[in-house]
Amino acid sequence: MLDRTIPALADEAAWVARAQADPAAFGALYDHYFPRIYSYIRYRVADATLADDLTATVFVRALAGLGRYETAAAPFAAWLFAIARNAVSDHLRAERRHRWLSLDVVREWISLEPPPESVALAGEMRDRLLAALARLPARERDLIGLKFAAGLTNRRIAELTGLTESNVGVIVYRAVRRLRTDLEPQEPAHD
Amino acid sequence: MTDPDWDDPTTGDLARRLAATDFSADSRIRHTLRARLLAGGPPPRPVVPAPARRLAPAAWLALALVGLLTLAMAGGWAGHVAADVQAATPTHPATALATSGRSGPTAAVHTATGVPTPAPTGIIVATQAGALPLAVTVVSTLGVVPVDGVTPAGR
Repeated sequence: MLDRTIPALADEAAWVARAQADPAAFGALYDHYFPRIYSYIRYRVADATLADDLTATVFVRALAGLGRYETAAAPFAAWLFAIARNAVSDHLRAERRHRWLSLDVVREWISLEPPPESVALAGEMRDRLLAALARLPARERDLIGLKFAAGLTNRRIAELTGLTESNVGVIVYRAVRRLRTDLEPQEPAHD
Repeated sequence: MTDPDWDDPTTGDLARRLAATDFSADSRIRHTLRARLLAGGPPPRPVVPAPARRLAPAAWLALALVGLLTLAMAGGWAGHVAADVQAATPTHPATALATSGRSGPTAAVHTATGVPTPAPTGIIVATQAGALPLAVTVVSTLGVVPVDGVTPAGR
């Protein structure tokens, strides 16, 4: 479960260094970040299969570029979510050109895995939340995804997006308020 | 530390709920992707932006070869035609007498001075000898080759 204080992977720097030397050690990083990366992408794109596709892109790129990552330059999470943001942005820019093949590839993988029970358990609230997210402007979806799915601080989000920290706070606040309004049950009108 | 996103009375509850929502249970590739990434081989590339990326480098090389041969063939035949035209339309009696009377790619055009100037026979002979079909065979053999383990849909 994600919460506001997402713990860093224990000995993360050591895991990164190990994975840089041996890609087989990437598993611990993958296991730790997969839920956050997937959830962040799901905040930004409505389609679950597309989210799978983009999540795969992120981890493929991360593994391929891991040798160039420097711990001193940025925390691993910031580096990884920068890749995620770029992957989503790339997709949104060229959505029509990309989609026809990538989804076919992912569907091949999907056939290998049983459908998770949690999908069946997904409640109406989750569906409504996803629908409400889909109605938000792209920038707001990006920021609240970085805030709540990625678990990044406003300062880190500001560094990633080029916005000021206070601007991030304002946009996130307004986005959450808009979501809340959207999710509130419609009360029947009283005479 | 207070955080307006979390502690605000109007948005805090939803903020906490958002943070507690993990969509990753919806993923259908989590374990497959992990296995592929850690397999040690070339990782899968789930996004192939354009059909052109499905062509292997060797296929591009073969296509370039075909292009060059096509250009060479066009240039060679142009020279050939020019030579024939020149031979067929003598502008001076000396030139008319100097033409070899032969035609085809190996024809030599004699100038008025009597010095034979061979046509660019090498390229033309090569194209006529079947280099173009050979190149086409190379392309069709290499064809559309999956790159990095990605196979086109439906294969």
